[in-house]
Amino acid sequence: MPELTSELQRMADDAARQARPPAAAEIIRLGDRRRRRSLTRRALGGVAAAGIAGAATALSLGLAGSGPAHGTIRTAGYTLVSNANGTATLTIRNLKELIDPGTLQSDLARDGIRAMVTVGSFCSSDPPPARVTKVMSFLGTDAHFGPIVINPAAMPAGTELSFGYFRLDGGVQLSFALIDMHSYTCTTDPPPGPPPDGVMIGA
Amino acid sequence: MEREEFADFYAASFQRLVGQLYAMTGDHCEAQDAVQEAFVRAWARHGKIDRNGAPEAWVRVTAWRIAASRWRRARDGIRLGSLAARPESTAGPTPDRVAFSDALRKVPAEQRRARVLYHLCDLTVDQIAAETGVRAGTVKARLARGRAALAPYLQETPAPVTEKLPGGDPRCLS
Repeated sequence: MPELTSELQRMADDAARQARPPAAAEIIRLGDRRRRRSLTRRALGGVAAAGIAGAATALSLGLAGSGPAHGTIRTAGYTLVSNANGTATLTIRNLKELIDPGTLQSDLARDGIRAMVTVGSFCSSDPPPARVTKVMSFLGTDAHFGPIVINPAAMPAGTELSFGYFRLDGGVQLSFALIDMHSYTCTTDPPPGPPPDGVMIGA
Repeated sequence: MEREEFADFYAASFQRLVGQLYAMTGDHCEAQDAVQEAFVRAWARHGKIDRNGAPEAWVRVTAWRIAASRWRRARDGIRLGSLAARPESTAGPTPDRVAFSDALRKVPAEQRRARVLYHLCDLTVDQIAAETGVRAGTVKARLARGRAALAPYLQETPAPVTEKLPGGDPRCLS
């Protein structure tokens, strides 16, 4: 029979050996980005608290905006381009790169795309409020994953996009579905196939 | 903590922390994701961590909170300990080890966390209390209950919860 300390140590050592740390530079890059955003939010809060209404209005128009901002965001794992017609094009360059769910979610929000990005879990509604392809156009195939054009204007009211990212023994899996924000469930089990009215890709 | 120092700290402690989080949560992917995210937050707030003086403990606490928070969001009301209900594929574990691993997954998450901090990190009861934000008496109760739950699967050594000399495993405190 095993002894508690040695058994826990063995489990931890096995897990530590299997851990695959992303490059430190990537962690630092994501941390820098997180800090910049935090500072921006704090600065906006400070301006508002000081009651400088004109400056706050100008800043909110410039940074948050009433419509989507235009530009390109590039990370190690994906590129997100804001298109002039209100859609956004998401290109996941390498599914196996670290995806930071909070970063992707806030990047999508910049383009007015309500999304719930989860790592190690996936959320869905039963029944789904609409087919995800009503909002997302997949320009690639499962084997050669290409750009995804997302049209936030096509999202029914009260819905969000659900992105579920799983690291599996054999690779990586990403599932998409449209969910009803007031009625959905989440699971930590990777979907065995494409979710109802959804799409699944893998690498 | 400067960039190079942080990179060294990350390289030296990432895998060990994943091992500890795995022992706490029972899910390797979740452990790795939570530790990664905790390191991102650590760098984003490295001034605060410097003042804290125990960066590895800070990352471990943050990773635990991330894992627990994700789990609560995913399955409200179900214990973290059963996160990895799927059987693990390990290289030829003995039946005793399989039984132990299964039993460990059934131990409530906070009891597992206390056991890991006590056995793997060699923290004292007071240090565990400080890290987990509960009283020393609660820690002792969790340790005792965890051991009782695992006793049928263990080669018992009479090891009641006693006060250790202060200090703990320097790797866990650094």
